[in-house]
Amino acid sequence: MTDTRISAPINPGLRLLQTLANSRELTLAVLVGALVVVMTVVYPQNFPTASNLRAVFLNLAPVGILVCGMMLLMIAGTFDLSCGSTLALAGVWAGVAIGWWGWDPVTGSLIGIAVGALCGLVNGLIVTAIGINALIATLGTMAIYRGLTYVTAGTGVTPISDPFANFGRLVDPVFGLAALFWIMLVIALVMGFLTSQTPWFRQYYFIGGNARAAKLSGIRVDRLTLIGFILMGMLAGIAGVLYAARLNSAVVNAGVGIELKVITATVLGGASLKGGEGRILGGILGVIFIALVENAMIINRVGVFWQGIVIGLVLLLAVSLDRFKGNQRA
Amino acid sequence: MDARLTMSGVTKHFPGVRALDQVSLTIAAGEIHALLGENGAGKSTLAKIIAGVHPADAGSVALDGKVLGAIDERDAADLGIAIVHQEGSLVGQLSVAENVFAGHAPTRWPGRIDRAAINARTAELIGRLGVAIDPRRRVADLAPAEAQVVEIAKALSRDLRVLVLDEPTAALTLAEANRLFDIVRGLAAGGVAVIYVTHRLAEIFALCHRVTVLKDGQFVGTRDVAGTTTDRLIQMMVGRDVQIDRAAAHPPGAVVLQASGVASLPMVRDMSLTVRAGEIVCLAGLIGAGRTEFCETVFGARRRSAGTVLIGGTALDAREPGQAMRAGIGMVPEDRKQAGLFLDMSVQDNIGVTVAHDLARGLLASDARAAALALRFIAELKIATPSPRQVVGNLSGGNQQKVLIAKWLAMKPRLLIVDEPTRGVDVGARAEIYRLLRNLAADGVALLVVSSDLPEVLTLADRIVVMADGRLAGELAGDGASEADILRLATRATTSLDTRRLDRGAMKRGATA
Repeated sequence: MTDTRISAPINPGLRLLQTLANSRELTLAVLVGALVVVMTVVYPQNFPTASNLRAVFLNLAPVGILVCGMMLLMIAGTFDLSCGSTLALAGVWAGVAIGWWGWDPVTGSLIGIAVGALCGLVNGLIVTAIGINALIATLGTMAIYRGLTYVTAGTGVTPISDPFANFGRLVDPVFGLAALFWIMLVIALVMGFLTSQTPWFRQYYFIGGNARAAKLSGIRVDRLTLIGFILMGMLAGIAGVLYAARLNSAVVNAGVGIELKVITATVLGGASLKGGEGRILGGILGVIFIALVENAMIINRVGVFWQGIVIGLVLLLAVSLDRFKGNQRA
Repeated sequence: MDARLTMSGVTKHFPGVRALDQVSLTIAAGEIHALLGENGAGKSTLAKIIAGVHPADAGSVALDGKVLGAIDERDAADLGIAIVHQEGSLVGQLSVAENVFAGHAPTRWPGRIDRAAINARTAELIGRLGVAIDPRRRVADLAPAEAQVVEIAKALSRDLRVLVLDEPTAALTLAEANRLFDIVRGLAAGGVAVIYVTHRLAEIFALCHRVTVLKDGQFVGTRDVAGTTTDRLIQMMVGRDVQIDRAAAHPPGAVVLQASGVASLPMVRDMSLTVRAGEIVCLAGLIGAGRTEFCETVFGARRRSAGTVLIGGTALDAREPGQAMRAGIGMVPEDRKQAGLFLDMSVQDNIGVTVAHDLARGLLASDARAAALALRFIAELKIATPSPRQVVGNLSGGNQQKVLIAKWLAMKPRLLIVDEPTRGVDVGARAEIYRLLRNLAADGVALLVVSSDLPEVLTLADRIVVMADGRLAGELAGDGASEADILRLATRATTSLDTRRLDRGAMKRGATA
């Protein structure tokens, strides 16, 4: 297996084929395609129905939004375990502002997103200013933000308000897909564009590639890392608000365990823990793959208890792929 | 003499590179055999194949007449083949004895490491090398020379038959190097076959019996050291005569850098110097004198606690490298792998990182412009790479160094700080780098070059500034200065081994800050 970036010039047709074969995105797309075909053939009554597919897309949307932030952080060589707790805290604050205080849904939503950004800011400051590693820092804030969620709203805010709920139930007239999904798609497209095309966001690859060299090349490593965490928090805030809108309820245990799915999808999508690699498209394909695996388990009537086992295995498999790639280069 | 190690037709490919091509070599028991060659010649690859780090693609390795199949590092160690790497293989947090017996410590029931036994055995092994180091000390607290002795003791802890030393004197003082030579001679006298990888020709003549020269992965020749000369060896290495002469001095221009009373505790206490446009100023001094730290302070990578820095007459208070870069300062760091390059990224990405925003079209990154910039430098600096998309980690050391310099030339600096411009770079590339630095000076760039290599200082410098213990120790004109003049200034301050050790600790702390 040769890495196309380092092979000698070869004919263009072969090169294209090699690129495709080495592309994590293509591998994932093929896996997703295969899964869709198998499910359609085996369960023609249950799988390829509009309602099932709508449910799949609706369910994967919050994870997809979080993956956009997580991919950016993992490109920079760090990550955020507290994103699920941030999601819940942001949703609860939006719920409190709209449901209890009677604020209008837009202002309330902005409050939720601001709470998310604040959580990200705190994470970023702990990692950059105090210098605690991201694992410990966000493990700590994961517990703290979840605790703050309980302290704020006890058992949650239900119902929040009708206009807010109407937004959560909004679907497009053509495909009947939820607003939540379309917002995720827009976020993914924007983040994908930024991280692949703009020099400013491309700096994150250098940070993940070699943080010390990046610093000595004039890249503001700490500031960019901080901004990455704030973006992650904002995206978790958006996901939290949308999740609350969909249920018309701010649930205190929203997003429990979601960080497992998010990190699994991100690693599956081509990110590695040492940083410097991965693309948003890969992350989104990772999310779709996991969502389809979950959907297959539901249709197969595999018990929910098995879900964690399967997702965990997918994560380990993805990391093994990463190890294999690393060995190839050594 | 009987052949201890016989290699025949050994070939090794890495993606895009043929590291070794049909290399054959015989080393006798009791022989000290030097492996010489430019960076990228395949010395380290050959050493790693012997030690089981890499498998060979073709060819065979035989130990005492018995052909070894596919072996890994553990197998090699069990066979009595040991390698002492440049970087070292010791675990800093563990004791000397634990390191020496890593992986094969004698145990007492029920599987507990027999500390008393390994401490005693370690003391005995180290004693055999004519040195005394407490086996219970933590390796992180050792001086580099002591750590190296521990590496060799680790090799001796098994029945040693082949010892590979990869650039062992890089971090040693002259006296320490001489002690190491005595140890190596002693081992060879005891029947160990020693493979000695080095860049330093003088060491080959001081220590080795035979020398094998490699070039571009190919065997060039083996010579008896007694029957050859430095010039002939250099010619074998580069395939041509290399002349490194002092350039004619040229009149310097306006002052570009004026540093006065700069301090960054604890390493830099009170340092002043000026560099003019078109001038090469070499900063000399002992390891731990604070030269690198001074440069990092000027460059904004280290907090300045006192003093002023003027760039072109304007005060610069750089708190991060970006500010220094905007003032026109570039810095090629000493450690190109840790601090200089993005090894997993392409040549093009590495060269373009300092000017990423200038390479953009509007808000968008332009691959075409980045590639054009990289191609320009690949041609100008003769960087040997198949394409601008080659991953830098796959290039040889000399070419990596050129990429690193290109990265800083891309931003068109007024002042370029170069920390150890030729560390780990072979003779041929070294001459090219000297020529490059001189051309830069001729174009009016002010150059501040940190170097521990005295011949290099004497070759390059228009002016020599010597630092000792974080302070300015003196200044010499480049023309007419001698190594002794520099050493006299550099050693004026007292530098005992103990303070050096403290300084190393401080450097590590500074690096993580």
